[in-house]
Amino acid sequence: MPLALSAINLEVNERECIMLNGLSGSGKSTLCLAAADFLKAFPAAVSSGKIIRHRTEQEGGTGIAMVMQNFYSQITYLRPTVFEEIAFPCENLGLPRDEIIERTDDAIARIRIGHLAGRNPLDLSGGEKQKVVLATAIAMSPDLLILDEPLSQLDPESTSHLGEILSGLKRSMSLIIAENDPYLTLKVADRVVVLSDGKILADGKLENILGPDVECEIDLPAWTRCIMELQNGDRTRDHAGTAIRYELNYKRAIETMRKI
Amino acid sequence: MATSDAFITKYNPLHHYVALSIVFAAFAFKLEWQLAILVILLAATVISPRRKLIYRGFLKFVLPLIIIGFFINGLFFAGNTVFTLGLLKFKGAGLLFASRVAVRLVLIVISISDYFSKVKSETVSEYLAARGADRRFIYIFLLSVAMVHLLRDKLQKIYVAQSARGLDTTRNFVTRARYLLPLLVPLSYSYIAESLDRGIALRAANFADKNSRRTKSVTPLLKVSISKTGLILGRTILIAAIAIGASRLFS
Amino acid sequence: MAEKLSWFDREVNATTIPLIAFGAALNIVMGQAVQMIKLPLYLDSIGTILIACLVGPVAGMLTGAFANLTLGFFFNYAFIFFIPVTLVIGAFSGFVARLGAFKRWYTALPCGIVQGILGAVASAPIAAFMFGGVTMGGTDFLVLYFRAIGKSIIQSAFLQGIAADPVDKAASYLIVYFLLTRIPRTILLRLPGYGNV
Repeated sequence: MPLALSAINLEVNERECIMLNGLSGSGKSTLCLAAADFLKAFPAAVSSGKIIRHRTEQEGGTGIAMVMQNFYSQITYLRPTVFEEIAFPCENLGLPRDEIIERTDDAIARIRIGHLAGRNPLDLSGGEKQKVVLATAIAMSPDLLILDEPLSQLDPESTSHLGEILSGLKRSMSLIIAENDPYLTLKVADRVVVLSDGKILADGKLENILGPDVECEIDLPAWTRCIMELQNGDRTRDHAGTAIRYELNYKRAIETMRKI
Repeated sequence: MATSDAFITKYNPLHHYVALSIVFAAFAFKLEWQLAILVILLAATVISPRRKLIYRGFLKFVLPLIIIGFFINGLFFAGNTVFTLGLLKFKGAGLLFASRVAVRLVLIVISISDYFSKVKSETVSEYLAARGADRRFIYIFLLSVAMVHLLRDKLQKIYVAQSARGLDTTRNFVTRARYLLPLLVPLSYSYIAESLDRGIALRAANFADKNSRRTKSVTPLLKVSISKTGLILGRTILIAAIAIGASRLFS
Repeated sequence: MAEKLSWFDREVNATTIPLIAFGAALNIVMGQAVQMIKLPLYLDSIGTILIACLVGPVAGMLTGAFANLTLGFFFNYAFIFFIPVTLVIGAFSGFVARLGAFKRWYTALPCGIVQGILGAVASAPIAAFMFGGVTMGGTDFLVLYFRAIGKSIIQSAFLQGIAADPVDKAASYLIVYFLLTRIPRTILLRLPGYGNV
């Protein structure tokens, strides 16, 4: 059976945000599941390597929380209101009732879904459900929050808002986010890990990966081409189409995007 | 916190004490007592704002059962004929048996319908879980109720898609039987995969196996809204029903 | 040291709970499916048999029980009283699945017939005592016939079950067999009953 992830050695440091980039099928979701310790549920996803998590367990925290790519399966249908749906994992932690309510209120306020609190989760749209699942993960106060394509159903305003939330969350937890969005990467990522065919092709700060001194034949995600449009520069295109080598001033491009 | 309280479910256990007492009476009381309870229930149902919900269960499912039961048992029980309808001779013993079955069924149907017209299934499930029932059973029940709706919608979509590919229900039995797999396979495959993902999601929500849970206790948010007097009243009704039934069974 | 999990805990846990719920819902929805394509069968135990095969007998029993509980509370109260029959179906299906009945169609078929006979035996006393032999299941005219020729209520209920259940359960077993052959191995590997297929 082909390896889903090959020789992956990933260290996740405290209060660090790692952005996983890569094309479909590169292994981003599998790596998220591995980081959350759920890979045992997938015997077909044979992998090699290890993930080291440096973290201090928060008191009353749940350790690791994850928002899956298929977030619909995370709506439990066990609670009649969104408020109780968000509180569900905290109930399972055995926390005091007042603390559960406080955490749920805080998560609802952060995601700005107060208007949904009394509604039945079954009646929500896709984007609303995704926000509810995000709020549920935040309410758990994890040491490590893993988000697999958290922007898939969000509108641009919500995407921008999520970037602010994640910047704030970085102060208290580590983040692993599987997303190819340039805005989110520039806004929150401390490190970028680029995956291809189950292997890590690059791992480091964005400027270092895409800096002018780096020459690597990797099929970059399409969004990097957007960055290139911001700056004039020389481009050398390999006409085979699969590998492109750039010699550009990425540092200035990134600084420009960060100011937006 | 007042705002949050508005979103947290409340439950009054008096409802289930009354419903359970009636169900117990349906099995253990004498026929005359059952008829008396039935008359009181019917009178309460007539003035209840939820009578449409209650009658729907009765008329749609129980009434045809009762009518057929009267015919089958009235005609074929041994014993004396009490009345004749054309060529049909109805036996007293059979009609009495059918009456007992009918009264029992109606009592159960009305009490359960009335209960569920007042209490949602999620609420009673949360209450049972808060009282120590195995949460696994509670979650299976609630999930299956939700999944029925999801599966029905998906089945409809698959049927429409297959009809566009030539599914024809006017053909012979063998051809129609072969259409079952194209309906069932996509339905089952997608929901088996989603169920497995849902299992991971449950573990991500800290609902995990014994050895992987961080804490053993669970804090339910549900608020039980009943006064001490109400609780005593409810328990008294149930204990009285059990005592009367037991005295009849052992007399 | 980790506590050793009981058989029950191994079959009923966070991974299998959604599967059991799916199986229960499938039992209920199959009624709609057979109506859509106008088949003269019930096929209302397909979910029970499928989950018994993919997870185990305890999960199969729970699937049937919760299907009837859900049906009973929301559609027809008669189903609640037939929960013991679904327990028999789930237990037997899980047991024969472990013996490899679902690896070949010619082993699944006779097991389905035996299942039908067992189901008829289990349902007869319930139909007789709770409903006077009547269940609105479409074959009540058979009860009428058997009563007319002098059989008792319980005999009539049993004979009515024998006439319909073996055919229905044999068809259900065959359908589950064919269904299992079409589920991808990557999905089956994630299931506790992978060795049964």
